[in-house]
Amino acid sequence: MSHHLYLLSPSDTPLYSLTHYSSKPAQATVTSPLASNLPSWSTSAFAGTLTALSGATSATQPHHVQGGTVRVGGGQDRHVIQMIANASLDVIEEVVRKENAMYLKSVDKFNEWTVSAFVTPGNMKFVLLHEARNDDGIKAFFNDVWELYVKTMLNPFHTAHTPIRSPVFDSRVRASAKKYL
Amino acid sequence: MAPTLPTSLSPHICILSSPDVEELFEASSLPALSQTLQSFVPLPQVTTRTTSLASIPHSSFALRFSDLHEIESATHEDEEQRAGRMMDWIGSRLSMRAPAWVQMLDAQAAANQEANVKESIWNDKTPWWEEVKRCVEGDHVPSTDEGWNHPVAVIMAVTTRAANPLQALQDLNSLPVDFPPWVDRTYLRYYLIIHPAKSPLADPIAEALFNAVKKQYGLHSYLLPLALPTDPFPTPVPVPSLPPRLPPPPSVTYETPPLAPAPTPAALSVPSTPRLLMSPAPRSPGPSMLMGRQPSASSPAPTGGHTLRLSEGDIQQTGKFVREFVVMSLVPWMEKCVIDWNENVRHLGFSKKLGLNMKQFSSSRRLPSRLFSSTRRLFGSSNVASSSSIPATPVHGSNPSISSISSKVSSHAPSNSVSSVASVSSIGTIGGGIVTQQRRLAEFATVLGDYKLATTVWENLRKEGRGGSDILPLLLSPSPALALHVAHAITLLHSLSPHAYGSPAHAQLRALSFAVRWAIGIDKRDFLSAVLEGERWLVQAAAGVRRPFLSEISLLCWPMRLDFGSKLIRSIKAEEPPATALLAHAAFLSEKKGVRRRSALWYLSAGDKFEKSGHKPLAMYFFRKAHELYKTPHTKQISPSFWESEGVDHRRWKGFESVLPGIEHELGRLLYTTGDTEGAVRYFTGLLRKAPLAGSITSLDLMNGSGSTEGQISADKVYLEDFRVALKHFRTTEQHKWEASSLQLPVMFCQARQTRVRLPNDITDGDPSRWAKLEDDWSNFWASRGKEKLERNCRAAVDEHFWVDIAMQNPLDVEVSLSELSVIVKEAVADETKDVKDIVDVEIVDEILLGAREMRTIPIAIKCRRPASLLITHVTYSFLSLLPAKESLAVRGRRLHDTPQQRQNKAYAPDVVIKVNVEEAGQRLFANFVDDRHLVLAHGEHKRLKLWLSNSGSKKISELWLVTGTEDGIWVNDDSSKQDSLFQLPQSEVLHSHNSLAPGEPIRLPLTDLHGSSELAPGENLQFSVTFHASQMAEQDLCFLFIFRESESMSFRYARAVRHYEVRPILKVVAHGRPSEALDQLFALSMEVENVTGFTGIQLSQLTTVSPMWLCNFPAQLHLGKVLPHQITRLTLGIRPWQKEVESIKPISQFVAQKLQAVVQGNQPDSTNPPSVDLLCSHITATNAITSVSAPPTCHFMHSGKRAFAFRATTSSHPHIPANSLKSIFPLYNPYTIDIMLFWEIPSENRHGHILVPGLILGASHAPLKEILEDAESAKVKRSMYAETQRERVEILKAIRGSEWNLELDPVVVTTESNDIVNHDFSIGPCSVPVAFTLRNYSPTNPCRVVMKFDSKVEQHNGHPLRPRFAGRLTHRATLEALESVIFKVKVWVDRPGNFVLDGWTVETEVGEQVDSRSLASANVWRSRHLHYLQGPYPGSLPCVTVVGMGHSL
Repeated sequence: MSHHLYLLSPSDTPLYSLTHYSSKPAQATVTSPLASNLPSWSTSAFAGTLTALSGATSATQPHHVQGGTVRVGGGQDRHVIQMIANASLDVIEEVVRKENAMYLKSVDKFNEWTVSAFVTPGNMKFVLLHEARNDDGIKAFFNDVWELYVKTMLNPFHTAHTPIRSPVFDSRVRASAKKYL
Repeated sequence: MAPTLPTSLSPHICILSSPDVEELFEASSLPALSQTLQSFVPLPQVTTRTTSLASIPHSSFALRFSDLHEIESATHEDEEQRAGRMMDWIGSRLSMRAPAWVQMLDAQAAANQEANVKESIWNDKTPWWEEVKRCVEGDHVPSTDEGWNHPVAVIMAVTTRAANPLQALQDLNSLPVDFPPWVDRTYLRYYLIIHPAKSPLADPIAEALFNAVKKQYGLHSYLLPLALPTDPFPTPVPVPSLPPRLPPPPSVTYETPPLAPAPTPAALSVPSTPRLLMSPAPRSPGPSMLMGRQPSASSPAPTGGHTLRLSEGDIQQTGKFVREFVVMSLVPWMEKCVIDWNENVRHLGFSKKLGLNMKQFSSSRRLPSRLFSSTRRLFGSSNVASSSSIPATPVHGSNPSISSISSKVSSHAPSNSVSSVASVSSIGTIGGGIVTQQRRLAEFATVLGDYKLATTVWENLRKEGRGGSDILPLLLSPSPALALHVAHAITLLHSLSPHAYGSPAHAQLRALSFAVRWAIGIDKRDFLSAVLEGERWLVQAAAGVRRPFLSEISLLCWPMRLDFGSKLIRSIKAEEPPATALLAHAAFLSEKKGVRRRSALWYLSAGDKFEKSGHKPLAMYFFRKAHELYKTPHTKQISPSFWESEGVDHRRWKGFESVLPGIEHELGRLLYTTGDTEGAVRYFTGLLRKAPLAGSITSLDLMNGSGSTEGQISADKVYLEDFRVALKHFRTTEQHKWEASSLQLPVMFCQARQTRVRLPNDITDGDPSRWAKLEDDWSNFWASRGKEKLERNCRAAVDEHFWVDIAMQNPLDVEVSLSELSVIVKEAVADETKDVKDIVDVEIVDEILLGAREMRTIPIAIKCRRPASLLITHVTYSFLSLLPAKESLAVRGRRLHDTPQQRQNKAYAPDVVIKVNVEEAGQRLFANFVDDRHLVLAHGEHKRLKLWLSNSGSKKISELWLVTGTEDGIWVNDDSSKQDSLFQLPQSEVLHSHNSLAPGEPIRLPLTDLHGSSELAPGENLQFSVTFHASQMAEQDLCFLFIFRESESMSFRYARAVRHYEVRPILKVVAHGRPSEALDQLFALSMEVENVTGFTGIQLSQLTTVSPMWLCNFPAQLHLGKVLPHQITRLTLGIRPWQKEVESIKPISQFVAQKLQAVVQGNQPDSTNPPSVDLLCSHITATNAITSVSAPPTCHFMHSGKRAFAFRATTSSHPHIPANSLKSIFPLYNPYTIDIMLFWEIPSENRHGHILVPGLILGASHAPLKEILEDAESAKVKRSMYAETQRERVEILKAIRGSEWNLELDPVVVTTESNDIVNHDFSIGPCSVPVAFTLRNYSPTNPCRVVMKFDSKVEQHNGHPLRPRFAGRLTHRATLEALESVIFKVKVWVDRPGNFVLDGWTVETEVGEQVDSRSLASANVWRSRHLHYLQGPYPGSLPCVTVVGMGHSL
């Protein structure tokens, strides 16, 4: 079961992203019966076929083996996950206009992905894609990330558009993800 | 407002016609009767009644006509199979038309863009959705799940052309209806007699016939007189198009369903694409329009669109029939059914005492008599009044009980409709399906517009879990609850499937039809409102039914259910496109709603699905839409100054880094597979983007320690491979397009800012900072002598190679190869550039491989054949040996700040291009070491190095300088210095030193001496040698910078020579001094010389001490000789003051004190040089030959070695004092130091050298800087606002206090002298042993007072040496001048024999101020320096007295 975290600037520019693979068992019953499996986005046998057609011997492309059971980790599927995070911004903006809370739980849903969000007073958006329901854990996780983000922002050279590349931030967010997700 | 129901929720009427009807219509070139009648619906202005008899006007009342036989055969097909076929059929229709649609939309979009027109018919709808909608709406085959398609009426039609029309009607009536048992048989029978104009029966006879029929079959009959068209046919009249219907299954096999639609009759032409003219869900026109319109003969036949060639009279007649049929028969019959069933359910509810209150279905009021009368009139009097469940006796045909039970074949015999209602209601369910009477009630009520009743019934059905959730959203007003109904409806579809993969196609089809009904039946504004968010319903419906994985199917197929599995796979393939059309429509609606990001996601998802089902044009269209929507920046509700404050341009928004490449890759692949190689290549080219920086998001993700990322390759690799393949294909197959395409590589490999020109003179070996320092040294040196500048070597020479070092960095995350790497060179001639191929040779590098993100510097050699000014403008290469690319080498000019305009806006100077001037070689010098081998030196070795200089230019050189590193000991040999060693000299000599820390200066090479001529003419060579002293153990480069010029007042140029060398240790020398016990000398200097190598032949040849103050006495027995491998030779030297020079200490001390005072007060010390000093050099040699230190090379090496050491020591201990001012603060020699030079030689290898051991300080000094420091500390300090300044000040003081110039020592050293062994006869009494204590003042400058006290008390401790008792005078005082000594003689009483330790004394010392010997007045004045010391015996070396008892012991 995986989680995808994105930190977006007020202009919706991603500053940080994290893919976390939870070791906790997925709660099978929670997933909606409506949820179809995520289509295997990466059934591209293209490169392989083309290589075969062109007679080149170089690359047997292992990338089209992924998909199906191997969920998102990078490569082909990444853009769909990112697209979902991007699409959820529509709803997040709408909810933010109506509500005052920073933590917007389960704000949107796309197939099996539930999107939870956290909007800081500075209009930074933390978007988390997850499969199972875990409101308390996610809230605690978001609060941790917020604190870490604030600490990062204390750096006078860090602006709202600076991508976060701090390894300390990264390792702490990972630790928090491990703890709560 | 009453909702407009979708057509598929309208009454379904089947037509059973006799063969003569078909013949008649065929002869008249008309479509079948059902299709003809279909052209006359929907009907305008139909009024229905609710159960409470309220009128409901319908502005448009839809009906569906179809052929009964068709329905009969269709109902016998397996439902799942049919659903699969349906899906396939819709998919095939989509795929057939998609290319044309996409083309049309693209063309339209382009046209709109050009004309800036916003209006288009496709602004509010999409052709594929219209198509799917029509197909789904056109489904008219009854289903087990719902009753909408179950026939409501059957019209039996005959013509008067039949031989016996009455008999024909009778035949039709008795023909068995071949419906499966689950089809509801509650339908109205209607009898139609068509009376064509050419009928053999005359009109009155036809009238009579009609009367007979009426008598026999009741009021539900009609005589339709028609003129029917004959040749020439009347003008075609446009009619609403018929919805497309699924063609019947091929009888043989279902594996390959026919994709082509059924053939259409001649009069009904089907257009290839749906257009606006034929509204797919017609609501308005119908027969009324037809009737009211008189198309003129001259007007052209409507293009596209369905037409009917019927005369005006016939149209009127038929329209009248349809209207009468609906208003007089169908609607009243349906109303009657509703009332009956409603009552019935109520009774049933009461009788069964159900928990639910069924009463709600019925109006609580009694039915008014008006209804009874009207229904009686319509349905006959026999059993109309009976609303009870008593079965009436059928007048005709079969027993009603037969129709009610599940008989497969039943007769068409006219069971009385109401009685059949009654009989059915008694059972409660109609057949095997779930179409119950209750559901029919709800459906009829819905059709009739009695929504109040319908809603309650549907609600109840929903609560019982028997459907209804799908219809309720259409009937209820918008509320959030509708979304729940929708979700429930879709969930139910899933759960209704008997097993997980039971009916994917069927469930999918139902989900599809639900979605279509919602989309049609709910007002668009409501549907898209924030409350309903209808577009999400469509997505839910699209995703609602779970599809099995292929792996699961294969499990199912194995081993025995092969047929099932294969069927399933087929149905999975079939279910894709229509469901995907739902997604696409949802995306479309979202886009219209302004929710663009979600729309982009759904478009992407739809595109992906369409691609998988093989609908490439549509897939491409959707991918493009997603791409476009994603790329369009979203208007943000943030302050405009946000962008300004961040310094970011809002138009250059960069979103998620993988999204655009992901979509573009798909598009590229699709284009390639559809044959558009150029387009594909263009997309693939766009994918080659600069990878995000290392350590950023992507790599962090990949680092995440989960196994699933293993085996993944970077997206760049995939993109590059696809790009390579597509590009290769494009280049080989479409040569002319390739040439016209002018593809550009989007990434840059060349780092223009790091690209440099390298000229042959620029030796790049050696540390660049060292070269820079040498040049700085030269500039500093020359600054005071002249203004001539050192010119950079920025000109290349004609016919000589120079190089452009191109920095190439691979921005991609994958290895790439670049071939034919070269540069473009142009000549700058008077503001223009021209090609210079004829005069310049440029190297071409065949191929380079750059790893992922690797950066490399590639030198490209260039040679020019005549003087020119060359511009190196571009670098060219061939990417992957396929795509030629060109990158500019120009870099942006500096930021301009000159005017306010420039400061406020970013303005830059013109781009800077690499420029190389090639000239005839004028002033050129090549310098090389003659021997270029790796140099390994012994520590301290003197090595002769030969250098070779050549004037390769065209002008003479008359002035030549050599600049070397300040720490390198270099001596330029000339002929006079060849006999620098082996003089016969006295054992000591005096050297005069300027005592300055100033670094060595550049050496002017004496051309006259070295070359024999005062100048070096062009082409001439010069060879000379230098001696290099390897003073430091290291492995480094020896850098020589030669500065030369043609003549006075010309600027200088330079040449470089570098040689790598390594210095290894051979001798380890340790020296330390201590106070000497011998009175004739002050100190004893011990040296340990260790041979750390395995050499046997290392010989110490000479030992020289150098000191401003100390004189060295070499003991007579001292002998220098060989030092064996890994052995230590110890030498001890005696040191005494060089009396002459003790006085010379003072000026040096004063100089330092004065300079440091300035430093601690924060002032800049003046730049006066320290006073010079005389150095006394004492030698001892192994032979008689002495190497004189006054010989220039030795003196130079000694000085440079000492300077290097002193400079290093001073800079490290005074880091806060600038290095360039050290020379005016600290002298080179501390007067107290003594340096040792140890000369060695290895005769067998003809090597020799010396090791300098500097920095040994002897003698006591008395904190000469004490006053200065105290003043500085007690002075009123201006506190600086900067803590750093304050801290630095403290550190400076601390460093000065601890420096060698402020040493402080107890100057008095006590030595004890006594006879070691005393013999005494204790019988005569205790023994008195005399002991002398010598106190010596080791201060060469200051006097001191001493008080020596002896302890008379003796405390004996067991196990410790015995202590004697001092006797006589126990306190001694003395005043010692500098270097003076005094002896105190005392006695100790010993009362028994033993070994006595002479401790128990203390010496108190007070140091006095220095006495100026010249002023006699102050000679006897004691001034204390306030330095007090107290010392006792040294625990380590206690003197002893041994007293031996004698004789009398017996």
